Amino acid sequence: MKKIINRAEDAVNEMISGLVAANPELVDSIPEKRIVYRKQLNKKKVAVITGSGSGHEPDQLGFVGKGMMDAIVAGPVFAAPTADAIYEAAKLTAGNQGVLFMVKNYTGDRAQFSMAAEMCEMDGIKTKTVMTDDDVAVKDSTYTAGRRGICGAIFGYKVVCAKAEQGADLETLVALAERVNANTRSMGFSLTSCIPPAKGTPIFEIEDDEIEIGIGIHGEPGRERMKWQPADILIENIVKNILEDLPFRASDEVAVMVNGLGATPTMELYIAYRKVAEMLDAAGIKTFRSYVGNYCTSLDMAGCSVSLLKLDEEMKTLLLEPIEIPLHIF
Amino acid sequence: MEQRRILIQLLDTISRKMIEVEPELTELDSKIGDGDCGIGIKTGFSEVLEKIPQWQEDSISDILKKTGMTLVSSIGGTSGAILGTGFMRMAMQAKDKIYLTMKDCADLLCAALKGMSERGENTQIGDKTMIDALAPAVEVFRRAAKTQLNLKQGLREAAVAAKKGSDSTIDMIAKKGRASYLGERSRGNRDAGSMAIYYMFEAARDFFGA
Repeated sequence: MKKIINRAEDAVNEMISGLVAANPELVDSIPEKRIVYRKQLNKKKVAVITGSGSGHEPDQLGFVGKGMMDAIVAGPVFAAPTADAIYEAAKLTAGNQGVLFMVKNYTGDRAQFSMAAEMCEMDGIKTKTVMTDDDVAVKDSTYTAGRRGICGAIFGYKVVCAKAEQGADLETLVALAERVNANTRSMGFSLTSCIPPAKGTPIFEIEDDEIEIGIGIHGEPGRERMKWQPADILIENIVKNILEDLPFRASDEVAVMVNGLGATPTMELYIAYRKVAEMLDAAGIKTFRSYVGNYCTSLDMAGCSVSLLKLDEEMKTLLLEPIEIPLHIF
Repeated sequence: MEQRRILIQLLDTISRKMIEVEPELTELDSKIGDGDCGIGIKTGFSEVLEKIPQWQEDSISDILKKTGMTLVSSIGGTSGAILGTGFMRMAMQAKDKIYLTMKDCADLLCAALKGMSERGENTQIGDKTMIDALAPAVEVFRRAAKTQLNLKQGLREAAVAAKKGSDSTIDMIAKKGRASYLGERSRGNRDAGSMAIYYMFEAARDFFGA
């Protein structure tokens, strides 16, 4: 293993301190709880918090700031954050309007967030929890009961946080989050495994010429393993599954995300996007907005995922609302 | 001696027991689970053991609450949340109490069982989890309290029921947790979590010299 780290056990904390050092005007942190929070907290609105294992950056710590998350709680690499830290983040950010927890559907995350919610309740802090389960690859997979939450969760973060910024109440946000999740579908594939710093070896084995179709963001198995194919065929495979799952229909309007899993050259992401755009066009689906880059990664895994969100007018407006977060170009 | 001080000593004994049985739990869990059950529990109770001396002046409820918080934050994951919830619910049940009767103890255990089942998203007997040992032990203890048996007698019977419950997991197909992905292949192996629960009752029984 060769990585830009010092001690493996310090990797997550050193990443957080680096993020804060690079964005002092936007975010601050509580290092011992691995909480990153928005510097100018607005306690008149509902606080929105997410949390998950680390290793998916820029998801989630790149998404803290005005118009996005009020706080995020980072767990160890690929392991859920713990309830005590989530509870601290809620206490820190909650005003009178309560707290919304946005969680990807994994049993560890579910259990820790539900316990945090109970701790908040004992303290009189009102909370609601919404799940994302956008991955169409497998119905039930390792580490989860039900469908997994992957990159499509970020559509939910953006839309729901923008609505929170406008002062919407907790019930309204829950309904909106559920609507976004119900209209989001994703699927990915990987060319390689990935190496968590503390483990030092790949989390699963895959031959040089093999592709895992429907890979999970923690390396969970997907639908099938096949020999390498040209990009257009790989993309066709996953996008077809996405389109048929909702199903999307001609004249639907969508937001598109082509997401790199960490070690994919940008060149390849645009090659992938090119085929996605071609397919959507052929299916009569209108693309409202596209996002190509690394959003929800799996450390140094090579591969990509595609997410589609079927939009309505409200979601379109909210997607375009301005944000100030650490993930930015100039 | 004040009950809260006895509770501290009891938790000390249980923690030492859980650290001691780590290799056995690891061995069991590596057959059908993640293999991290033993280490997780050892880490959690080592942390409890380290912090206990600072809780001498706390109430019964606060000691249980801090135990729960320590377990959830140090074990992490689903099992940390479930075990932590057990102690947290006992803490809620014991709120403002400075003296626990046999009936109160039974109520605490019932609250823990209910909370742990909920946290596991409605875990039931037969799912091949901690609940398979805990539920029968709690039921036996509750009946003991009802029939005016004392703590020693109650714990003695609860430990027997927990062991029997854990034994019953050997023939089960896992319906929760990592082992559930093995389906039929999970049969023939004991659930490590259920054995951990048995050891807690065993440690409590031995502590009170029952």
